[in-house]
Amino acid sequence: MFWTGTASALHDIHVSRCDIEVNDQNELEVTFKIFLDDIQMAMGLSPNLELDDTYEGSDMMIEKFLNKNLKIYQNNQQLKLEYIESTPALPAVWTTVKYKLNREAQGSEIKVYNYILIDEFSDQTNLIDFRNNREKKSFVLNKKKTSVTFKL
Amino acid sequence: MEAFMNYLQLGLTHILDPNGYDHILFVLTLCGIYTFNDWKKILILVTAFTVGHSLTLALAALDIVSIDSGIIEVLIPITILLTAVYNLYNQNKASHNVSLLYALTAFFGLIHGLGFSYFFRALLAKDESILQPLLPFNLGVEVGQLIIVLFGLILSYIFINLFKLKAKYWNYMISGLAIILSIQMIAERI
Repeated sequence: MFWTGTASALHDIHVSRCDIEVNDQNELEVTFKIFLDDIQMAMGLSPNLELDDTYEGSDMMIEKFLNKNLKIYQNNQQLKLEYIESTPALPAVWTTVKYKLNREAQGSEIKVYNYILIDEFSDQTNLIDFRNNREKKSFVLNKKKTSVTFKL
Repeated sequence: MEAFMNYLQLGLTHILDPNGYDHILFVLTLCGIYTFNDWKKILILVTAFTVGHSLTLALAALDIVSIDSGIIEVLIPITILLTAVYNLYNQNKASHNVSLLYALTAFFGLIHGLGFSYFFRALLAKDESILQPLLPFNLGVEVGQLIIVLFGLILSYIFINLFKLKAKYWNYMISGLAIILSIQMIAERI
């Protein structure tokens, strides 16, 4: 994947969003939108570093970042993240991952811990939208509230 | 309903964000020379600002208008500077051209709306329609605006009515502070 580190505007925007859907294969499909310069900063990379699509480590770095900052539990059992891909949409990046559910999804309690950029920015807002066939739920997480629980 | 309230909260917290206080400073400066007795003028000013920023927020969110965020980030403190200078030159409220002020305020609202739109677009999902979140987000901005106006009027009441500070000195304070802070913001953003 290709990305470029760019400086944020001074009225800084510290937002990420996370869209969660249950698919037909009993998996949670999760799509993240995170600003590139923020994620680069969180990874300790120079903001002016230009990474091109020959940089093989970029996907691995994002996967490591998400594993560290996002935890999803089904009925108190942590689910394993499966990284799919990242697509730049400057100034942000869209990343898709999956979590295989342990058993039949319906009725399960899902708990999502989202710590994305919470330590880096005191005003970080992390939106979570959950959608299945029957309903849509929306949550706003931040430094004070880093987790949500809902039933599938 | 949940999503509606979330976007309303996001609009509200965005305009009230002390880390990005340019919008707060603009609204405070706009109402800087007025008191509770001038509520009708304030209402028209705030409405003019609302019309302006709602228009460009919608147009930018729909991708009909697109201006580099760097330019808008410089223009916003310029609107603060011009408003503060206007206040200082029009201390006698009876003499100033109110229609010009309303028109200027609506125009400045267009610029601030573009500023709001960058944050708003960051909130959207990949294929999400903007119409559903736009209304509550804008409503949140309006509520935040009213809170800022109320705060400004309470401050002016405290200084003018309780501390007996002359209105013109209150204007000097607010407009002077706005000039200093806006010049600093312009210098940072160029």
